[in-house]
Amino acid sequence: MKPMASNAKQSSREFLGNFSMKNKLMVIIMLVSMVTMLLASVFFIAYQWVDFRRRLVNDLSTQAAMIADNSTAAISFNDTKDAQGVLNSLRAKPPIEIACLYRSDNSILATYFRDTSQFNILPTPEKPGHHFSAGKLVLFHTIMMADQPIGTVYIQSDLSELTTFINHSLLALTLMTIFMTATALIAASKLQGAVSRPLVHLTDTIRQISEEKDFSLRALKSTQDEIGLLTDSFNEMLSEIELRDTKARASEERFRTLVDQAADAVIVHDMTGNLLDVNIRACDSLGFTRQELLTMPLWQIDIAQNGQQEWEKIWNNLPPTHPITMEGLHQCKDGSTFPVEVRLGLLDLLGRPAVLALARDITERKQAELELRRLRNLLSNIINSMPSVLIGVDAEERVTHWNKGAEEMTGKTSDEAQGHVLGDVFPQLTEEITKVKKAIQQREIIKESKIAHKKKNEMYYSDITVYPLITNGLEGAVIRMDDVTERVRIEEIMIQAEKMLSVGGLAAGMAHEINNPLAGIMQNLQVLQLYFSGSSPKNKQIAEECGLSFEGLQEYMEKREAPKIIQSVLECGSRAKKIVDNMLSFSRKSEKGFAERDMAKLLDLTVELAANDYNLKKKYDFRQIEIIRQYDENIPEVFCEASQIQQVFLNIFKNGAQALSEDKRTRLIAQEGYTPQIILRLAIDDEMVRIEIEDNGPGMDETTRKRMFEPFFTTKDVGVGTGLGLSVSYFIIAENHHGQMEAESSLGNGCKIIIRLPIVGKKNSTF
Amino acid sequence: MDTSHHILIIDDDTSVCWSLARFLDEFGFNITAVESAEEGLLLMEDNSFDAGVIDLRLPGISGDAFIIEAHKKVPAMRFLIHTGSSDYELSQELIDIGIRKEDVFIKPLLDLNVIREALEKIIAEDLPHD
Repeated sequence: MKPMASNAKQSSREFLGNFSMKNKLMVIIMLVSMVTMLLASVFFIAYQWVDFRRRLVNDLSTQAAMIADNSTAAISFNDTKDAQGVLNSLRAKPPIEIACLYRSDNSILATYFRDTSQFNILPTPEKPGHHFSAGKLVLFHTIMMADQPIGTVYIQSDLSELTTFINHSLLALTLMTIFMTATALIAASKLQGAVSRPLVHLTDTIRQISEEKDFSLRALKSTQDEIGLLTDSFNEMLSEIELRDTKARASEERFRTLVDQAADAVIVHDMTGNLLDVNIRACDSLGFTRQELLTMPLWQIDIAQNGQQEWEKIWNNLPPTHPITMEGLHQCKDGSTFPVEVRLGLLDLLGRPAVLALARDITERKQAELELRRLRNLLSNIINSMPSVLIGVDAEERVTHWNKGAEEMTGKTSDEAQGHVLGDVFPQLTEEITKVKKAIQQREIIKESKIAHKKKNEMYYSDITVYPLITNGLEGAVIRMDDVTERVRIEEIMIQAEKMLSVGGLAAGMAHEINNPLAGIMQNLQVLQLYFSGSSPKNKQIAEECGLSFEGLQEYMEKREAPKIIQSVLECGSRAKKIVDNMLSFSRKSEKGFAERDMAKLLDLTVELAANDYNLKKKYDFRQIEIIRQYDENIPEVFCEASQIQQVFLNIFKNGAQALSEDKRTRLIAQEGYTPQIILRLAIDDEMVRIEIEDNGPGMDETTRKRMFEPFFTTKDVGVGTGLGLSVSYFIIAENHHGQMEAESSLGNGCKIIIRLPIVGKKNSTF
Repeated sequence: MDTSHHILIIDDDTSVCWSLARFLDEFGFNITAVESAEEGLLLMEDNSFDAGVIDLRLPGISGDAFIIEAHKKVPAMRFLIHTGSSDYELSQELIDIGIRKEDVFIKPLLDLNVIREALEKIIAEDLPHD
């Protein structure tokens, strides 16, 4: 039952709840007044009814008592007539329907019936009292006489009076109620306005505000009661809201302007890439409208990552505390792209995680970077293209720059050298470090020429310049090192050549002067030989004239070994002549002209020269080398400068002899029957005469072979060779004679030098 | 020895001049040796020479000039050049009058027979330009 009641209550509340305040007030007032009225009426009627019944009983009791008093005599005398008469007096009392007088033995003495047509069965007398039953009031009264019951009075009355009373009361009540209701209605409708009007006004205002969102509207205050207070508060709140709204709008407008005016594209999207907000910059840069963008997923805008999954990986790994920076690639509406730098940060958007992406167009920066890289490349290219060694050092001599030249020189890469102390990575420069210090301290350029370094068997020469860095706050120096070995070598060659030329010039002058007395010696000796050895008639005749037998004279001479002496002197003269000849072959005068020369003769002449070379003889005896000649026939003469060609041959022979003698020492131990050999070959090769000089010595490795014509490259001990011989030879063949010179060799297989000289020489040669 | 060939030797070095003369004399040549071109030219006035062995560096008139001059006078006369200049090269004028490379001998000669043989050879030859 209870839920039903609560349902009813609820439904009534709902029912009321749907009413307007005004109607609600009316209904409440009406209901209250009506209920009050009804309750009052019910109480009143009930009271009246009870009271009426009591009075009815009293009246009837009085009536019964009166009848009893009046009928005492009748009963005592059993006078029916009198008794009837007493009862008939009841006719004045219309409500009494029936009355009856009983004797003490309960027999009926007299009866009264209001309507004679209506007979009712009379009851047996009961104990005195009354009771209501079936719309009747029944009363029994004992008739006393001298305190002795002598009979009983019975009266039955209808309740029409009561009914009439009630009917009248109800009518009055209804009328009163109608009147009261009408009055209440009028009063309520008049009065409720005082309460509801301000409220309705307030609600109307609220509705208007909520509909129009116009917080500048105000409710009118018409009372000083709670509603007035409410209106005041409401208005105050409205003012507050309006102020706050204005502030918020201004703030948002400012913020929006800021965001829109920002140089970066601002994109807010959720964790799945759906765009939630973008600024104007984003729209402008991408060429989309804001509405278009807000329907797009991020991976259609930034195509740097491969689709949604890649992006989500990034978003889900964003650190919660700080944004990350990455590079992206934005795709515009027209399909073009531009690089961006994106700062990605997590954002709490009303309790939901979102990503704030600030994208900055870095096209220009990229271009600048590209340009910078290009410039840097260009610069390092320039620096690396320079043959010079360029090394940058800071004030503590630590390497800051290290170009290709430096890498090649030291064999250390730039990475290996960076940050190391110069002396550690470039030991050759250890001695220069004091100069670097000096240059930095005194801010002056220090130059050093022809610094010699030795690397294996080779000498390197460098010019070193130390430039201090003069920019403020950047202490250090640049060391430039130029390999001037080649220049030094050329200089040396020229010095050497000049030396040889001046010696040659001297020799030429001397040679002529020597040749004449030498001719005198030799010729006179030959005359002497003629005189002593010949068996000419003249010799005999003169001997006989002197009284000597020519035979005896000859015998004497033989015994004294005079012919030997003469021969010996002749040989000495011959040697002197050779020395002079060879000296002359190095002289300018003898170089004056190119001439057609027989290579075979030149070769033989040089072999002889080598055999007699004093310096050569001291170390390696050329005469112990077997010379094998394999000359083709009809080799044309070569237009050449004989002394130079001889010099070339001699240099080759010297080198060969050295190799063979060194080899001999080792091979004699290992192998018997080895004879050092030099094979000389002459052949026609195309338009050239090919001269081969081959030894069966130890040969040389590829590195040596490649470098054997380089000036100052020597495998001999220090002080033994200048390292110039073969290079000068190469110079003579290639430059002076437009020929070719090459070497074929490998370790253990001897060495073959091949010279090709053009048959048709250049007669207009400057030499 | 009257039928022998008459050879003129000019060399300013007495020793060279004298020894060459003695050597050739030994082989039956009729030798006249002088130490200057001037003397040679003078001698040519009165003597006829079959050939001459001429040094080039001479005081006064040089050997070259003498040969040319002598050739003008006696075109039949043949010449050998005997010089101490090892880098000597024949001038065109000398080549024009028939002097060849093998006619040039550089001092000192280890064997004077080469001059003797050369002399015998050039005297025996028919003159190419006569």
